[in-house]
Parts: sequence; C-alpha cells; structure tokens
Amino acid sequence: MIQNLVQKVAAPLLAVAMWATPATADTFAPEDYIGLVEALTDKIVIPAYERFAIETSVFSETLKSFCGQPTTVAAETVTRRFHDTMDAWAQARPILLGPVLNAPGPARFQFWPDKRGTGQRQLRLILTTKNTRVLTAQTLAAKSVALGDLQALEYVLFDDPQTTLLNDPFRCAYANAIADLQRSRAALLLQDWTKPAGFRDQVIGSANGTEAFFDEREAASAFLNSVIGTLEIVRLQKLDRPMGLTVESARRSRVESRRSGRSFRNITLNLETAHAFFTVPGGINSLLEKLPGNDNAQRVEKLFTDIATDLENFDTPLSTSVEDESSRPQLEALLTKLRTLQSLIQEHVAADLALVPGFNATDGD
Amino acid sequence: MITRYAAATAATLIASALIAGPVAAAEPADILETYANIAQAGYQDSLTTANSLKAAIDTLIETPSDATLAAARVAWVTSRVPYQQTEAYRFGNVAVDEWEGKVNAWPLDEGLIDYVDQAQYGGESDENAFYAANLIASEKLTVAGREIDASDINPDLLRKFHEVDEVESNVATGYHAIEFLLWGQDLNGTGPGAGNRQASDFMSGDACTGGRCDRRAAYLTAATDLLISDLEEMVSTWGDDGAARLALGDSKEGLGFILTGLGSLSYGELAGERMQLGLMLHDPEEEHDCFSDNTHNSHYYDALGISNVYRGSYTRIDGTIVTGASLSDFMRELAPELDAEMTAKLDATQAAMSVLKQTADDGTMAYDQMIGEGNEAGNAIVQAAIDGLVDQTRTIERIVAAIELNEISIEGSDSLDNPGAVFQ
Repeated sequence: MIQNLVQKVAAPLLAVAMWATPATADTFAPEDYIGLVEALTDKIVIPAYERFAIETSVFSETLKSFCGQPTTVAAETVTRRFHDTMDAWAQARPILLGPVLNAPGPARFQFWPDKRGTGQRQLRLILTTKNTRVLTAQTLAAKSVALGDLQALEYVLFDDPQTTLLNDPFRCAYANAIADLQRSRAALLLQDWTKPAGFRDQVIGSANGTEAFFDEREAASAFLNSVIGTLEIVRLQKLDRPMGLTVESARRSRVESRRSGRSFRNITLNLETAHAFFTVPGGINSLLEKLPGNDNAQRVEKLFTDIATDLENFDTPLSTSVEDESSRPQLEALLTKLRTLQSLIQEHVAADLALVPGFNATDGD
Repeated sequence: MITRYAAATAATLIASALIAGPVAAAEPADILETYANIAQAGYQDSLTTANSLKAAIDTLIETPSDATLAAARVAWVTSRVPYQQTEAYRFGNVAVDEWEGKVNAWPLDEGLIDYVDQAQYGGESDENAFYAANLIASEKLTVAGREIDASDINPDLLRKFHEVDEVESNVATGYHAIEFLLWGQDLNGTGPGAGNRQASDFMSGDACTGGRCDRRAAYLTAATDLLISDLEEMVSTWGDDGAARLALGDSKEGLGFILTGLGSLSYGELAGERMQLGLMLHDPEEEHDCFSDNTHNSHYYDALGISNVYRGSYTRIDGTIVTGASLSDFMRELAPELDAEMTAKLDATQAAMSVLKQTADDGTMAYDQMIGEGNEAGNAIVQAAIDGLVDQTRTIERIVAAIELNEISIEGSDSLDNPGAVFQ
C-alpha cells in the first residue's frame, strides 16, 4: 500500500519533470555543458571511484591477513576497514550513469533493498551448507549478486555475534572471497571510466555525439538524473519504506546497513556527494549563477544544508528511530525536505539548465 | 535538439518518406484519442478473456478433472495476452496505477493463500507476519491484534487480506492469486517443470487433497469474480466519459502520460524489477508468472503493448485492429530520424523477446531455466531482451527532449508539495 501511495505521486512527478524543459535551450553554449560534465567527472566521479578501488583493495588485503592469523585486535581492524569500504561506496553510490549501470547494475556492489528476502534466503543457505563454491572470487562471480556484494559482507561480519570470523574459518574465507570480488569489480569500474575511449571520453566528447550520448545536453542530463535518482532512493527506499505508514507498521528489518549500525551515515554520505554535484568548482551552481535573478542555487544549498543538520540531530540509529514514536516527526520532516529538494531540482533546476531528467530504476517501485 | 533533428539532410528526409509513406499530420488530440481507444479495447479484451476464464473455472469446480484443470489453465494463459498489452498504461495514468495492484500484484507470498511446501518455502518471514497464514485452511485470523472471521470466503474477505499489514507481497487477489490456485507452487527451482497442483485439490469428500477443497474452490471463484469486476471498472474508466480518458486532455501535454507509461514500464519495471533482478539473483522466485511458467509470454506481450502504444495500433483478440493517429506519426513529422530510431529499437526489443518466447514455446527451456546460474545461453537470451528495453528507454528520453514543450503540466505537483497527501 505504501508503494501504491508513492506511485500515485511518483508517476505524475515524472510527467511534470518531462514537460518542464523551458524555452532556454540556447541559454547555455555546448562548452558550458561540457565544462559541467568534465568538472563533475574529474572532481566527483573519478575521485570517488579511486577511493572505492583503494578501500576495497585495502580491505581485501586486511581480510586475507586476518584469516591467516585471526586475533581479537585484528578483528577490530577488519571492522574498521569494512566501514572505510562502505564509506567509499556510499560516496560513490549517487553516480547513476555510465559503467556502474552495466548489467547487472549497482547491485553487483550492493544488492539492497532485498524486498522479498531472496538474497537473505540464499545467504543463509550458503552459510548453512558451507558451499565451497563461494570461497574464491572467480567462482563467486558466477553466482547470485546477493552472495558477493557488500550487503552479504555485512551479514557475514555482523549478523551473528556468536559466530564470527574469529571462530568460523568458513565465514572468514567467504568474507575474504567477497572482498576480493569487490576489489576486482571496483578496479574494473574505475578502469571503465578512465581507460582510453572509456566512459570519461564518452562524456567529455559528447558535444560531437558519442556512443553513450547524443550530445552534451544528454550527458549533462544524465548527471542531473543521478542527483534526482539519489534523492528518490534515499527518500523512498532508505526512509519511507522502513517507516511504514504508522509507527506500528514500521520495520527496522527494512533499514539499510542496520547490522553494522551505519544507516544514517550512508544517507549522509550519499547526500554529500549529491550536494557536491552543485558545489564543486564548475558544478551545477556555476551554471545557475549565470542566470540573472535566479536563486535556485541558494534554495538548493539551503535544503541540502538543512537536511544535513537534521541528519546530525538524530541521536539514535535509524533502525531505532523508525519504531520510536517520538522520532517520527523528525523523520517525516526530513522526508518533506527531501521531497521538496527533489521537486526543486527535477522541476526547476532541470528547466533552468534546459536539461531533461530521464527515467530511473525506481520507476517500477 | 529539435533543430538538430530538423536539420536532417534532404536525402534523409526523402529516404524516410519513401520508407514511411506520406507523413500524416498528427494532432495531440487525435493521438490521445487513439491512445484511449486502444486502452479501452485492451481492457475490454481482458474482460472478455477473464469471463472465459471464469467459465472454465466454474467447470473445473463443478467437475474437477485433469481435463477441466488443463482447460482452466489454458484460459488463464489466454487471458494474459490482452492484459499484458495494457501494462503500457499502468504508469502515468493515476486511475490505472491506483487500480493495478488489485489485478496484477506480484510477487506474492503464496503461503498467505494456501498450503505450501514447508521445506522449500519455510514457515516464517521477517518481513511478513502472514507469510504462511493459509487463508484456505484458517477460519479465523488475527490482524493487528484483532481477530477476523474468515469462515466465509468471499470477495470482501479477499479484499481485506490483500496487502494486509501493509505488506505488498500479501497478494490475495488478481491474476497471480488465481495462477497459484490453478498451478500450485513450482517446486522445480531452475530445472524443467511448472507448478503441478492436482485436480483433486478441488474434489469433494475423501477424494479431496490438500485439505479444505470447498474453501479452495470458494477462494478461486471469489478471486475470479473480483478480477472480472475490477476489469469492468477499468473498461468503464476508459469509456467515452471515463475518468482516465478525460484526464488525458487534448493538448500536447497529454503526450506526457504516454511517454511516462512507455519509459517506466520499459526501464524500471520490466527491464529492472521483472527481468534483471531475477537474472542477477538466478532465482525462480523472481519470475513474474512463477507458478505457470508463462513468464515468457507475459514479458513478450508487455513489450508488444509498448510498441502498440507508440505506433497507435492494437490487434484485438478477434483480429480486428484499433488504430489511429500515433506518437510515431507525430515524431515522424517533428524528427524523422528519432522516429526511425524508436521504431528500430522497438523492433529490436520485439525480436529479442521473440527469441525468448520461442525458446520457451518450443520446449527448449522455460524462463526460470533461462535465468538459472551457469546457464550462459539462457542468461544471454534474457539479457538481450533487457538490453533492448534499456536501449529503447534512452530513445524515449530523447523523444521527451525533442518535443520540448514550454508549458508545465502541474498535475501531481500538489501531491509533491503536500506531504500529507502521501501519508493519508
């Protein structure tokens, strides 16, 4: 029912956005759009993927060493490295264009939400049967994405306090294989952007038309769509879905990364990257500032800042907050601001920039 | 972007004209009328085939046998052909989107309805307190601390339990609830074979298997009656003075409804939720028609429905054709290259879907086998269809950009700016 209600709103939202393209298509020159996408690529996308590649590599090495000689002290390092890896992923997650969308999409890094519990069912079966086909990155790569992603890693590390990497060699070897698989996938993702004729070149060369983009406006629209898609994912999947319609129907089991207690942190980092699309030198704000009398950059800035402050003010984990009557008004206020921000960007900023946000993966939700 | 497309060379324009014939002027009002006419015909055909399904189910219940069960299954598969083609109307049209969940909700935790294989299905779920409630076996159930009398299985009761506890997978009504009652669980994983419910599940006395055959028959009857009444409502909604038809208006902005439907079904729903998800998990539980192994047809006709809407032409179940001014006509005038790109991509998707359908129809492998782990050939067939849908979505976005309307439709904005509307 929640989703039905959301759909009622989401479908017209897209319709509104689609027709919001104004008669200002000539306001910006092709060089303006190329400057924008180059800035976003070089100042956000590539640094985010570089960090993700580094953190997954460090994590993989840490686990390999730990499983050879597990100690309580080393286990703390494993946990710390896991969070570093998740931080890097949460910063990279808002990039919703390019190679990350290649089949099967971002789920190969994080399969979440697992709406039907399919991934969890598969994972439990693996841990029960101790299937050795998951113990190398190569064999794991051929299996369900839910067995080789960061969500599976979190489950193996945090789900059962009694059965840990310290006392279960199978879990340790399995976690090591997942980390190794993520390391190779992260390295490939970075390479797909940076290699000659890679996606960076597709973006930068879009003014002349490339395989990926008809023109520079289409490329710039894909970046803007990443921001819109991120706001929608945070709002609908990370907040609205676990909140339910009432506190009685709230479900902490639907909260992202609840086992490792980093749900709010993921959201904060997602939104920091989305915010950076506007604020980096040469970013979206630099185009908005060229429009006389346009204050949408300030409006966007205020909302992002307010939302970041709201997130800092929660003093309990999201999994607790959703089921806590006293936290509900705070959460609902946060939802409202996120919705307003998405609407502002989708309806007005897109129109200001003469860009056309496209469809995204949550349309069917 | 219009200017870029309009700047096509004379040679290209001539070539387009030669291929496409004379370009007819297509007015938005005419396009929207065709769009609504196709919707009305599609839902009417869905209703007609649902009535045939009801007749077959009545016969099954009166005289349960392998033959009457097989006939009911054929009627169900037949009923999916027109219905799936209407799914291009689901997104973008509020009247359809609000209604659709009653008719085609998926996936379902089938343990809500009837007995299941405990070893494979399990007895509980973190997400769903009604995961194995078994309405057919239970005359009393507790919902939110309140005991509900379920002794009489009727449409009202099914409505009450549909999405009970705000869990989407508590699907008590619609095509897939009926499918489960006709086929039962598919216990073959990604191996060959569909659900194998026995006709004796509908027999009386000692011949009854699965327990409470009377209640199972009552459930099947109630669910089918509901399907019919829901489809009647949708036929009426698309009638001359129906709400869905009137909501379209007659201006260019109305084309947004069409494009929203085509893009959302192509990308997020069909390519994403229904296909890529199952493929990347290699899990038959993620198959759309998972009990009957009819998924290949459901996906094929979904894609065909998208093409129908763009081209403004629908072939009805009696062979007659509903046609008229189309979005394709409009784009052929505005940006012929883009129309050519769109029709080529629709054709490419349909070709990929035809391979998928043929592979299942000729018995090579069913859809759930195609998505199985290690089945490289099957995986590639499904991925090709997904790629086609994703690719056509990019062109739908280009069409949206090319039309470049200046006026903003405000429908829906109130809801966006009014959070209360979301939580009511």
